[in-house]
Amino acid sequence: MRLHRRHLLQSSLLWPLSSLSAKRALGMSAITEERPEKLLIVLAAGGGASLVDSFLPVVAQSDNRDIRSYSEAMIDTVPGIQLQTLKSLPYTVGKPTNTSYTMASFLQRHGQDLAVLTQTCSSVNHLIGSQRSLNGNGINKGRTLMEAVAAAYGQQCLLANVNMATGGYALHGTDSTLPRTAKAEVVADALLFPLGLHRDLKIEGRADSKLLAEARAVRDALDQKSPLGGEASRSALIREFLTLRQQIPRLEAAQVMESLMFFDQARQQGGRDDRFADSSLLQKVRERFPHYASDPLEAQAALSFLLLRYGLSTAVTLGLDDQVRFQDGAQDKELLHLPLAFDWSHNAHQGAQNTMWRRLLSVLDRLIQLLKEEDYLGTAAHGKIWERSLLYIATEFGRDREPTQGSGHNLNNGHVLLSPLLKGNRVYGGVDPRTGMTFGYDPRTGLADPGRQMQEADTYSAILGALGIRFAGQTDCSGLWRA
Amino acid sequence: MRALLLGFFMLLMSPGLEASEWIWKRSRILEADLARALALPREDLCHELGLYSCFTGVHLFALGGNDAVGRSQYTPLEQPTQLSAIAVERVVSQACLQRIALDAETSAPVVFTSLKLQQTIAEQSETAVRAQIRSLSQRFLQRDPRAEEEQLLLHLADPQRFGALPARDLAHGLCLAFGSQLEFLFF
Repeated sequence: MRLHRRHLLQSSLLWPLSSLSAKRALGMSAITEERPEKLLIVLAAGGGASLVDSFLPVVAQSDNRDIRSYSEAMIDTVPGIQLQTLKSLPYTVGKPTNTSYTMASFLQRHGQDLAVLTQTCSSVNHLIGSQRSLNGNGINKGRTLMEAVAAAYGQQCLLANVNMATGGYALHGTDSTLPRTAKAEVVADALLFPLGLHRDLKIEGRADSKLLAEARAVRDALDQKSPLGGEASRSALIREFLTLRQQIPRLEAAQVMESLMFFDQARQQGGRDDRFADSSLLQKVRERFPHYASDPLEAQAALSFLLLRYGLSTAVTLGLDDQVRFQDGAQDKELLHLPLAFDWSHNAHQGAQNTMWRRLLSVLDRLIQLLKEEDYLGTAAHGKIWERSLLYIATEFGRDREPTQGSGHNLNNGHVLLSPLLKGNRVYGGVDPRTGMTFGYDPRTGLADPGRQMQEADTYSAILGALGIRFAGQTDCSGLWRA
Repeated sequence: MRALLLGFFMLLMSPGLEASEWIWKRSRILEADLARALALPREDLCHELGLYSCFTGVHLFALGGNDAVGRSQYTPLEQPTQLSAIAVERVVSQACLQRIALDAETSAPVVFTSLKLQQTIAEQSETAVRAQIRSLSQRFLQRDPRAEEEQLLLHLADPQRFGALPARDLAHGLCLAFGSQLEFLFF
């Protein structure tokens, strides 16, 4: 069969966007072949999100009075879910903290897919700890989890790896053999990120598009003729820039900006632009994240959903930052986000941890619900997005179990994973109620092993394995993976 | 005298700027150079949707910047990203349009002094267009354009193709062509 230009476009350049409205505008039909890719969502819970203050609470007993624990009355459970969690702690920092959301409601909705993996990490330094939580302490040539997933499944994606986090969570890995397409696009502002996906749209008063196209053609010719042109062609940096510049039309033709622009036009300055006509999907996203314009975490969740839904990305990273934020409450301003996120724990450990966990889980709950409701690429044959997803709540380290007057950082902790690709509704490892310290598990069986401590490399291996990715030196974590 | 001759000899033999030494004009430097070229205050250069700072907010990372205080990012990204070239063109375009709007409203324009911005492209004389090209070349590249460069840029004033468009469009096109050239973006 002779291949026409349109077939080539469908099969190579634009296939990740097979269900975009834009695609329909281009006259392209939905593609229904099997889609093997898996999706990774990382939530960077900066500052040391502590498991013994969320899903592994230690109950106060006569033999553990020296450590931080919780009364029986504070423990919350959900029928049918083996995991425990904590009730809400009233907490104020001059202003009341906002959320009425409970950790139990998260367990109720998603407990079947939730797995707690214990771990003892290798650094209590924020920058190093965050990097190692993503690169398994270098077990896979320095690739981050997101890079590994993007390299495995995102070769054809337009934005395979999008990172909205901060600090060490936003740094590239160190594998020099990583394909360029798997490197993260680091996002400064999730709400406005779509504006960076087209050279001209949403610019008021811009020139006629044909004249601008000619201006770019002239510019390219000037670059060739420039006295610096010859020199520039020998520079790897400039060659890279030019290669990336040549790829822009592909991004623009796919109408990615129009599809991702969840910022309501009614809130924007300037005239209405019909290219950005609202879809029911965008309206639904805004309804789920009603504070997207003022809360960066809600904006990140909205963007993450759309990137995954349209097959633009295989790895997205959300992140908490260190900025204190307020929102209007019933009577007064309320604290939406604590200064230093989970690291506010220096000052009032249990209240800060409880507040931040509930804030984080409230947003993740809504994101997961969307992923459970919507079909991948908008096509029922591909199944729900959630069926191929894994969500990893990454954090740098744990927290001291007894008051120290110091930073409160501790190597011992663990991570929360959520995925239908894992055997969920269970804890891998456990916690010693006398010391509050977590212990490990046998990764091949999943059974608790009180004499073992798990490392960053084990968690890294478990995550990639669940997503169907194998690499040299990987820990066999088959006891955790759902067949 | 011997030292002088030796110095001259070394200069002759020096390989010049190595290709690997090219430097990407990152966010703050690009902002400063654009502000100078277009005679605009930095803070007025570019705001997405009329509100959000391009250089310190929306496109900060794509332009090669970093934010140590707000986001604990102590070093910038080493290389341009997939979206760097788009970010560059958006900030250049918006800065150009800021200048064009100001010059169109005054009897004493600062940058677009040769074009009659209230008229069409067809109504501009070739002499005026050439003068504007030379002026922009000086502002962006600190040199006169070569004849072949000038000839290329005159395509944007082609009366057959673009004559009916407003001269503001020509101003935008010329400004974008200069502001997104490699010679302006790297040093």
